[in-house]
Amino acid sequence: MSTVIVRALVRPLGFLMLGLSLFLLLRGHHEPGGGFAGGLLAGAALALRRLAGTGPVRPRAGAGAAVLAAGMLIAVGYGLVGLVLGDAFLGSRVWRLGVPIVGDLKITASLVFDLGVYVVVVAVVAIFLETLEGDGWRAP
Amino acid sequence: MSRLLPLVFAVPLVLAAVGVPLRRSIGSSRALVLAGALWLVGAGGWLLWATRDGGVVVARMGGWPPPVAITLAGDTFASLMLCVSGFVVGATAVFAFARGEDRRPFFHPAALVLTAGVGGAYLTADLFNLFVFVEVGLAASYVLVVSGAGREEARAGVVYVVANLLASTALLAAIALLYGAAGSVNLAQLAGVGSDRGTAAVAGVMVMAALGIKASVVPAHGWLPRSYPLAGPAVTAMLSGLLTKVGVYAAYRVGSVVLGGSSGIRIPLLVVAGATMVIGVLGAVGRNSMREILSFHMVSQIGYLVMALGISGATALSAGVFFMVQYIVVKASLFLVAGAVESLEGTGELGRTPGLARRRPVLSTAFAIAALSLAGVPPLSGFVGKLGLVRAAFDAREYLMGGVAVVVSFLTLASMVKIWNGSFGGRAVRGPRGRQTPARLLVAPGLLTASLSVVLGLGAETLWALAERAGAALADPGAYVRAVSG
Repeated sequence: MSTVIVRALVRPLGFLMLGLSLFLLLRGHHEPGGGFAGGLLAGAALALRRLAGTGPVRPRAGAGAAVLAAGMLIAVGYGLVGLVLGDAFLGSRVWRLGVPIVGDLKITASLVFDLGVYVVVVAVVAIFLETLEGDGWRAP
Repeated sequence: MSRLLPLVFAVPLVLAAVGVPLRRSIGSSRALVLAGALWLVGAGGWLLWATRDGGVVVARMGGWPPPVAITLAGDTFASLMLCVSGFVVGATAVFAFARGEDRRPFFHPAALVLTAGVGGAYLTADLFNLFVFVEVGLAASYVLVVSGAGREEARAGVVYVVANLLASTALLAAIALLYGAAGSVNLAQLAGVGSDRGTAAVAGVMVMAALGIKASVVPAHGWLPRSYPLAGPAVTAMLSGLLTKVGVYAAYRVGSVVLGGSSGIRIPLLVVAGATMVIGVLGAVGRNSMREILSFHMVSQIGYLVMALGISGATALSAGVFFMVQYIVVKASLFLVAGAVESLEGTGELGRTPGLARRRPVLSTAFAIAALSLAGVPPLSGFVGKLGLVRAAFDAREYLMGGVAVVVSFLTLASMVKIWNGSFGGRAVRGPRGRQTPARLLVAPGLLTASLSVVLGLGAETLWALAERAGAALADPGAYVRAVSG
């Protein structure tokens, strides 16, 4: 897979995918998208980097696991905050901001939950890649 | 208090997240898993107390009004399942600690995520969320089955993962069809839609079929005996008590609420139930290791549960609930004993460990109790459950089904006697030695679960009363539907 074409394209394509994944994350509250879909796309960008052989040769062992834990804590923690501050698990608030040029911006608190899901999905894909490349398990 | 219901699965998830950075410290990891198991038991107990008047505890996530919010609803059935699942997680986890099976990568976080997924699946009143929680549990179980596995286990793991992914895809497609036909995935809004003929009924039956694959009913049972015996002994015991039973639990819910009152599925369910009972028990005949035989019996016993669903009505469903709760305990006990034999003697093959009964009397007693309970010998809990099921079958004039259930019980007994003769009976000869681990902790979980079967048999009235309440609520889901729809 590590051909010249892939190696030349991986950087612009990777940034495009990351940007698109953030876009999916942000629009996910009311429209198709969200943390899961965005996370998968970011994971695909990671996979592309690995396929092209331009990613780090060996990531720090266990880094993926720590990120995974952080994502889970963000998502569940957000739910618990809703339970403590509001009246329901995963309860949300909406803020409207008048931003010049952009116009009326609506920010929902549940974006934090989506962010947690996003982080979990990216971390899981990273762990998969790490495991498939590592010496832990080889396909027969 | 009812808004705290999401904590049932949120707490194990937090414990899992905390457990990931702590996973190299074996002591704190073990403490976290036990805390998660105790939490589930405690939550089930609290819910049992809160629903003692037959009520339903409801929480709406996100605080949205009824049809929009994802609703969690806990009734007697759900609380019983929470209690027994937490107990099984605890007992099998202690066994895993004793064997050192929990030294595999990510064992503790995965066990906690499994606990969370199962807990959520029991409580959700929303079909899509049911799918999500089942997937959360399954994803964790994939880790448990495959992580750190050798070649043979990895191959069995592939069968397990592929079968369950297929079932999940079918379940998701069926739920999507139901959503398209009925416009909702909320169980309260789906109440009774399956009783009309039409797309919704077809979708409801498809949901049942997909859950059937997960519960490993015939003809979709092949994956279970091919994968369970090859996973780690503690993992087999843990999954046996949790995941296939989630499939059955969800089938009871969907059958009760969505397809309630539909007579069209009665005959197919009974045919499947009969085939599952018979083919499962016959499949065990040619097997030669304890866990293989037990896996086929697992299929067979699922048939009893489906039979109760097919007969329907409060009596049969009460017996089904009673049978399911005690059966989870009994099956876990059998797998724990089989795992202990494998650990202590180095093999679970029949005929390789003669005279085990003399050398390890406590372990053998635990096996005898659990095996007799599985076969349905009085005064053990399996007897009470099977008696209730067979009586319900005869009351409903399903004489053939009642007869099949009795005959399969005898075949089960014969199979258990075969295990006893092959592995426990005979003169004491030193068999091939396994490693010498502290035997007490290996034996204790099996003995503890077997004793619970005795308690549930001798003191059956308490559980029977609870099962009757759960069965009545399943036969007439009106109160559940009203509570969920708000």
